[in-house]
Amino acid sequence: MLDISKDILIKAAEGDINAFEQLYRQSSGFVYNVAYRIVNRRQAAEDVTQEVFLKIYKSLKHFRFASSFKTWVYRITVNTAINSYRKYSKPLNSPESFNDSFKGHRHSELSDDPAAKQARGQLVEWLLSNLPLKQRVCLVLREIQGLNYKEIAQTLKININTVRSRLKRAREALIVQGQKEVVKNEL
Amino acid sequence: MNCKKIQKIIMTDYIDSEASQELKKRISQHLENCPSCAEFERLVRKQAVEPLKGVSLLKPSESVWQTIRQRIEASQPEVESFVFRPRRSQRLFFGLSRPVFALVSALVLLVIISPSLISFTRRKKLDNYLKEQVVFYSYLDNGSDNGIENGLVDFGTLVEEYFL
Repeated sequence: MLDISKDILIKAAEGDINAFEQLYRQSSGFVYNVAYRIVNRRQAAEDVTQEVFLKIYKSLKHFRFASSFKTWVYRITVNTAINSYRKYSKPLNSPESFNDSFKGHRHSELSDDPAAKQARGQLVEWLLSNLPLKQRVCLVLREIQGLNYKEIAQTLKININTVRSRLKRAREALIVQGQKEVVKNEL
Repeated sequence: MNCKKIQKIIMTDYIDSEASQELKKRISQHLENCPSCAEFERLVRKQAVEPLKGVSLLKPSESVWQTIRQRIEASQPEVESFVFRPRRSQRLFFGLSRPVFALVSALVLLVIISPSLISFTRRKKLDNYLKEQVVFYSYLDNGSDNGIENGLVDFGTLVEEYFL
């Protein structure tokens, strides 16, 4: 969870580069994760992260603490990542089928070694890449970032029932995809 | 509540712990008595929830911060002086910094008083010129180089004689 002191925010807003670096160190992890899960490419996620923090640097002096800093940063991150995805998206190289990824995952949930972690990561990428963008964003914020429905609604500026609806559809899609792969494998 | 509605809640509020205590209790009781819904709940967790749990949190490379820092430093002016980047506390008068306000005030004052300065200087020049002329004509007239007595110009003759 992101918890940056107001002192650091005020100093960073005044242009103190050291305070801004502290802010970066505390929040770059979650910005990068959200960006990566939306754009699905490391380089693109790093570009998005850079752009997000430059926007934060320019706009911080106007931030009035009306909403939480976390919500504000998530909103900038999601919007920037979505723009990047729409600009540069092309079919991903994902030769692995869901079943191969899922098999890897079943094995990996028993262990924490690097190979297992990688397999789990690949499965997540595969699962998310097959979802429409709006559903993917909601699922990332809920499952990976741990935001509750109200926080997701505030971040995306949508109704809380819209959050429910998108999560429901995203999970239905994952179940259907999983069932298809199982049938394909059996055939 | 029918199974369709229960399954809808399972996929959202129940799985995400957003359901109230009472609703959660009702669904749990239903799941104990309905194998179809129980199987559905198991499927949702297995295929849609668990695969996304425990995923490693990634970190950006250090070069990301280096690039951000470089771009911030490149966008700032080279000389951060008191005049160029006044702090908020220094912007007191009409949004201007104190030194800038002082400079503007001085210029305004100069513009206001300069006409009177100019006219004073001109008058002095004119007076000097007139005195010189008087001296010159006096000299021409009577060889005297002092045509001014008691501040009055003396032509050395009566008025009537002057005009005749």
